[in-house]
Amino acid sequence: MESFSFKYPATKNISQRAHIGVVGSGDLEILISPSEIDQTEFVIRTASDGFKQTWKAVFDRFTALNDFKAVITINDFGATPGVVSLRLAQVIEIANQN
Amino acid sequence: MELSAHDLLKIKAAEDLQTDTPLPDWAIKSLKLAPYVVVRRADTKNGLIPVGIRGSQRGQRIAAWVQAENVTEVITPYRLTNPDCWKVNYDKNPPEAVYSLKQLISVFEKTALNWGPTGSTAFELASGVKTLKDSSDLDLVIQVPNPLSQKDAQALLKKLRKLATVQLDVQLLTPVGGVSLAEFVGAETVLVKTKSGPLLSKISELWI
Repeated sequence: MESFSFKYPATKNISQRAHIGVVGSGDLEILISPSEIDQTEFVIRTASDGFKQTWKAVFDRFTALNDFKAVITINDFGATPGVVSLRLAQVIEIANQN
Repeated sequence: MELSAHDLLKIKAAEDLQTDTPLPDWAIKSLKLAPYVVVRRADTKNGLIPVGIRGSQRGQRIAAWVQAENVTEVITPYRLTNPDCWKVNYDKNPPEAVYSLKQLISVFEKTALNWGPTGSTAFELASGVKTLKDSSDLDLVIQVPNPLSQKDAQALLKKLRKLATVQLDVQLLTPVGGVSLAEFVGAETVLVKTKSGPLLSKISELWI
């Protein structure tokens, strides 16, 4: 079990909190909450140790395309980078629904 | 030989596996203890079967390929619902995951669904090597070739959770790919694991 966080500058608001994903092997849960601070903060708790750089690469790519003031909390059970990216896209879509 | 993801294959030796990088020590040790690999959800490569090797630790997984002629036995999840097919004998106290599996048999007997254990429980039952702890989850797959309503899925999940004494991780095998039952019961869009990678799908499009 490993925990870490990453912060990226951000400017846009999200509409609402959202929660997606499942507690299950190869998957993850994501909770996104609006933030007052001008940043996207990722807080990760993962069952698979030793992948901090892989996470950073996924978030670098995500924040290059998405700019949201939010705290994104991730509870990971060994999801692949492909699953993480899809789940991030999914949670952003729900967080921006009216 | 028709194989599906989650099938366990018995191989003769670690040397029969092909990998991109040399096998780590834990994998060699693990295969010596129990020469079984699990079929991955991927396409065959030059006729080679995509498989995974698992170690005793969480996160110890490595991808490999094996030729069909080096497979000596195939154990599907569906066979492992029958205690007569288990290679392990428990006295009175099986691990919680196995106890739970036995409890769930009665639920599925009332349905026409094909189901079975995967993951560490399947590995122990198929190989006879005891690695389960009482804290181990129970992973299951259920074949759902025909549309399943969220209401029926919810009722099924409730029954399973009521009888199981461990955390359940249930995957529905739809025509599009594998979907978590826990997510399916409450979401419009779900993550689907397919041979070509994960994708998001509306639940109404899983059986088209």
